[in-house]
Amino acid sequence: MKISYNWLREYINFSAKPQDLADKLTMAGLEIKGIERQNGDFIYEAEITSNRPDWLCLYGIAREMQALYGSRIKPVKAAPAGSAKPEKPSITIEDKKGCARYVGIMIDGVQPAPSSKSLAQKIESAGMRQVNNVVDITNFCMLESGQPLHAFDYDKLDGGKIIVRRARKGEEITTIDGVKRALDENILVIADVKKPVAIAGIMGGKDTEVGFSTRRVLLESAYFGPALIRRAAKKLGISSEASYRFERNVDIGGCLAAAERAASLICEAAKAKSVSKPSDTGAKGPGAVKITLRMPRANKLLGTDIPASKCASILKSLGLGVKSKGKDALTVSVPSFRRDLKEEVDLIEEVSRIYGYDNIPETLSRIQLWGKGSQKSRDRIIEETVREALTGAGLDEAITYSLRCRDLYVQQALSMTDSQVLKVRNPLSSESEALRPVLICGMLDVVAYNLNRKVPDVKIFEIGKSYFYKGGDVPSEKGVLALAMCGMKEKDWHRKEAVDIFDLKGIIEALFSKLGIAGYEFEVKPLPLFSPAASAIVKIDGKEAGVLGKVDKVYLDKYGIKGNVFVSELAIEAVYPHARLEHKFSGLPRYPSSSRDISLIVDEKVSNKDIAGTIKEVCGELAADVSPFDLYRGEQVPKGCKSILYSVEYRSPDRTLTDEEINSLDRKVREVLVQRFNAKIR
Amino acid sequence: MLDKINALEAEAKSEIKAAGDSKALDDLRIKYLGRKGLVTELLGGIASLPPEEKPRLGKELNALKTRLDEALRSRQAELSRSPVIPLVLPGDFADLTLPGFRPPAGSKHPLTKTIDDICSIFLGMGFKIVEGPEIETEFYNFEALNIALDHPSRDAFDTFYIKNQYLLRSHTSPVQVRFMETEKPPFKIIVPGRVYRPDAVDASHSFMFHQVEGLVVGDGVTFADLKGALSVFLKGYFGADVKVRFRPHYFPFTEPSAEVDVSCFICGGKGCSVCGRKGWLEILGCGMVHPNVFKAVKYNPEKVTGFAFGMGVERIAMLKYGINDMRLFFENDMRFLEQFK
Repeated sequence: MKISYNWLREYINFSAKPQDLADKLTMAGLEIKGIERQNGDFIYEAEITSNRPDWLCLYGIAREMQALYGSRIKPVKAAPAGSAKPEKPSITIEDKKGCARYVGIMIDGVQPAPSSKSLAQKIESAGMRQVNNVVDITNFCMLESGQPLHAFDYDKLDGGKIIVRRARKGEEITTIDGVKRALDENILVIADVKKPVAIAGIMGGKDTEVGFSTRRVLLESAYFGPALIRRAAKKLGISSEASYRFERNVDIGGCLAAAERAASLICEAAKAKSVSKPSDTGAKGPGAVKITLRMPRANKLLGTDIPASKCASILKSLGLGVKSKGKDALTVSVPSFRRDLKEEVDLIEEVSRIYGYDNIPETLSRIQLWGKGSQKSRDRIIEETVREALTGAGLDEAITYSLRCRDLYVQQALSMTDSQVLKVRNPLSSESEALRPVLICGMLDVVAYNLNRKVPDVKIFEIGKSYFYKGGDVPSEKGVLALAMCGMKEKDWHRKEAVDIFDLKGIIEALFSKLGIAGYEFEVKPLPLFSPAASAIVKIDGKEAGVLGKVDKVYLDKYGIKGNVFVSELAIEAVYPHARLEHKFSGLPRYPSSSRDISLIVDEKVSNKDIAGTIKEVCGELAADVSPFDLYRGEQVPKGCKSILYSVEYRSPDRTLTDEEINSLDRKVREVLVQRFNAKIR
Repeated sequence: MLDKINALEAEAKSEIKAAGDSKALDDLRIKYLGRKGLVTELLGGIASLPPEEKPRLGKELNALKTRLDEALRSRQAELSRSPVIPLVLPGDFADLTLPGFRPPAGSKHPLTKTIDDICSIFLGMGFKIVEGPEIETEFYNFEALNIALDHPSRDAFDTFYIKNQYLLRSHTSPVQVRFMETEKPPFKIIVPGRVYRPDAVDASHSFMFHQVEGLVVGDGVTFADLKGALSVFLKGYFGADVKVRFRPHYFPFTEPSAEVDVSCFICGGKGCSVCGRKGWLEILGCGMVHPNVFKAVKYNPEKVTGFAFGMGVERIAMLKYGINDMRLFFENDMRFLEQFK
């Protein structure tokens, strides 16, 4: 809201310079975001919090300044309206919930004209446009008192009557901005006997607008329900100075005074002949609100020692009624313009605000009173370890949007029906209309983004959520660790080798080792989104924990990605519980080990798991380690076969193995391998 | 002709085997398989052969092409597997002005870094880190936090709705409610997390962002304690020299409420483009927990008091690292991420 510094001076005496006043108001909670010089005046841009509708006018701000500067505000002049002629207008409120009070005053014999220079300047200081002096005065009074007013050309009202009612389906109105608008039952209107003439609290109608030819004016000053106005304004897509104020709640007790003030000013400026008595329909204001403020409670909450007398004077300076109630308490009566004050804590805030947050001490030593010892959850500690392991392996952490477009290809590949995808009811656009069912889409976005910028090597991970429906209509989320790699292995100037799936697999193995997870395996299996030739399920203790694979080319094409991308997704709930972060020393081996190499040619289909498993099976605990150390295909190896070399480390926990023992185990191993896999030993 | 083919194959294969680097392999590929290569030349010779021999030899030559191509590839693979040319020459000479081989090093995302830095100061004060779901209900996101259905303050928490009463949380405050439902005071918690609001993406807005919130509840927690704890945090995070000011503000779930500014650490409070010439930077919102919030979780507001605070992680990270566009956080350009090693 815009506030004129010069205009404020008409309501209260103060000597503060513009910047000092701005600071003072800001530190009292009325934030001044900027000051602009304009025609010898200073215009503040204020941000007013939604709990303070009483600050949406100059008089309200001046009232607040009483508490800040100790001076008194000047009353505004308003002659009570009141000749017997013209007759007071006929008002009927059909929707008493939507309109609790409606004051109407008739003004006869007006001669609308352009506004005086000083009035026009005030209207413009608030960023509004001048129209004619009748309309401008209604706006002036709104800016002054916070009560929106509307002036109708009475002679254009059919039947000369005002009816406040809900619009009927199919009704229309052309508003003063020239737009024709469709109305419905959710919208409150002001109507004459035939048709709506204004959208209540939001905007008047073009047909009954006051112009230079208007002679009789019906002045409206009403209280409309905030929620109703807010919903209607949103629906119609209109935000006016009036709706802004009604949405935030105007002072129902101030309707009559504002109407009388406007009527007397219009009379004077537009040379009206006579003014009717007000037709004041509906409630006159809220019942008296009385709140007890216990001083010990206030000081206990604030950590202060403010005396009751200081408290009382602060509350009085804000225009509240204050009486002592015993030694330690005050009874405070709240006027209708401060309906935000409902309970004790609201008063405590008022006291602390004016007392000054700066004057409240800062204590720290007491913080240890409330719970001891910092704590991180086990999952958080594991997550930090995961980040350490993965950044240590050269991966950068990415954060991608959980809201994205619906990826039909992914849906299809994962055989998800449309109803299984979590969709946002009010999305900003189709680019962010659904919650991701998998993280791989975001990973590929990042790869494509970087490739498009000529950054070919992407190695990333993300720890985030995926979202799905768990049994029918209950949305659910689960933690996921996603990894993706493409491009070159290292950034060395001399060594150049492309990343392959074993790099990604190795990183996952290293991660598991860092987390103390041992019982894992990779089960080769064609999976959706992955190339059938290179995809596997990651299992921990026999249970599925995630997937790993080379992304299928068909899918990469959709992202415009050329080259290979390797991706893994692991379910956090299936990984973290297996982590063992405590290290325990288990002694060094006490007896020496000895190793034997076995070189064999086997069919391609015989896996490492088959061979190593067989060796372990044959040797039992005596095979301390079985690992492949070379793989060869090509000349001297028949087509469809591979030559693979294993090293077996033999060791017993309780004695030194003899050469004969080892040789005999080695022979046994060879025999079984030949038998089981038709292997050729070299 | 067949002899010629066999001889060529033998020669080519031995040369391929001897090739020491990929440049040599490229040269061999041109020599044999190139447009004017030896194999191509032989193919050209087919034209002059008797017609009955043409198909057989054509087939033979094409097979040779494939075999040589395979041999070239497998040698290339071998080369890339075997150690490349040693950089240290005989006589132990090494040109140490050449760059070294750096071990791989990735980086945490700057937002994670910011969250961790914020949390670590609070951990030092004995706070506990707590997290909660992103998909929430209206009850946890609004009602229990004293945000009435029709209150205009709901506008400020504009929200993505999913289905039925479910929504994407618009702040991390619901976690406070969930925590209080199951735990008894006294406690001090800090809550980092992702949140969502329907803001179109631009340099300073995003429909997804991060917050860190805190909550302290116990017997006799005061506004003075709130000021003390947050001053320690802000001076710890932004530097001991920054000035801190608390301004009255409005939040439905706290009362009294405040916004907290620190003196601009870029211009030292003189006013610059970052602080909008004001000399102050708005960093967080806070206040004393509203009695209605305690009532919603069945705490007795006459017995316990507490303070809560919340801050936007992106804003703090942008100030701290001098980042001027929020989109950078979510584009994940490797050249951006790598700057936070």
